[in-house]
Amino acid sequence: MTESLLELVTGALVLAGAFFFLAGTAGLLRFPDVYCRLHALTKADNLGLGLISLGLALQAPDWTTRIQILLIWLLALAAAATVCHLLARSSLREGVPAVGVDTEVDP
Amino acid sequence: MRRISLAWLLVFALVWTVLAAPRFDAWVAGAIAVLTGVILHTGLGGRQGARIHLRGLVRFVPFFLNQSVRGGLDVAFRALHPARPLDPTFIPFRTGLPEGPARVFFVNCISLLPGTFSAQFHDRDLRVHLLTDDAEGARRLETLERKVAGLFGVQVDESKEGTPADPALSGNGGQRHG
Repeated sequence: MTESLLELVTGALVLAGAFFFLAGTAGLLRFPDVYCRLHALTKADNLGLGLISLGLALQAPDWTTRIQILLIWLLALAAAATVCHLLARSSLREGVPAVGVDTEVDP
Repeated sequence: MRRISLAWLLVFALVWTVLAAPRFDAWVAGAIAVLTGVILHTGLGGRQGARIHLRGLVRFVPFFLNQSVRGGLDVAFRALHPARPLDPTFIPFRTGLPEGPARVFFVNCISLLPGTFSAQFHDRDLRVHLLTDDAEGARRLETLERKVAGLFGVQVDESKEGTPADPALSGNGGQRHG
């Protein structure tokens, strides 16, 4: 009984996580510029990965595996934040125009 | 040449051990990864340690999780909404956090929390991209700043006078060319 309930919760969490990955991808395709797309990737994917990690941690056989899953999520967060910053910074340096900001782009 | 600290070598080795499980054959790749990691970390000036305050951590974790959920829901809503409601802009922000781990941690957290990410970062001055241009943005940054200060047990320097060292960070728009 408890086991099937746990599997139900895992299923719900993993599905919710997949939904946020899907929403992040929709943002990546639909948002107007590179800066807005970075929001879609960092926020939606981090929550998506968080929910999937949580769902899987419930099924983990031991605490070592749970700590492993937590560590993977944290490392992915750190990588996402760093990569987001680097992409935005180099886009600004290259003069990639931003929607909603009064910018002049060299011809 | 800075000296490599043994403590950080152990931290990196521990991270690898947890990730790869303590398997002997994984240590061929592990040794390369750990050494590269610790050399880069030392080369980038990461030797200064940081003390995490337990009380700050207890307050920070629920705050961070709550904000992560909000950020994900917010961006998912905007991405899937037929009208795609966005009003993006850049704002300048001057942090009062002292130089070092607390400031770097703050800059990274900005990018994980709802509607904001840090696009440029020079000394105390940041250029932050907002998904929606509202007064909330700057207030959220100040809240985050206080939470990070509590986490590291440091003070936020409230004096915000002075001009940014990098002129590209002072204005709202304005691309930097060259």
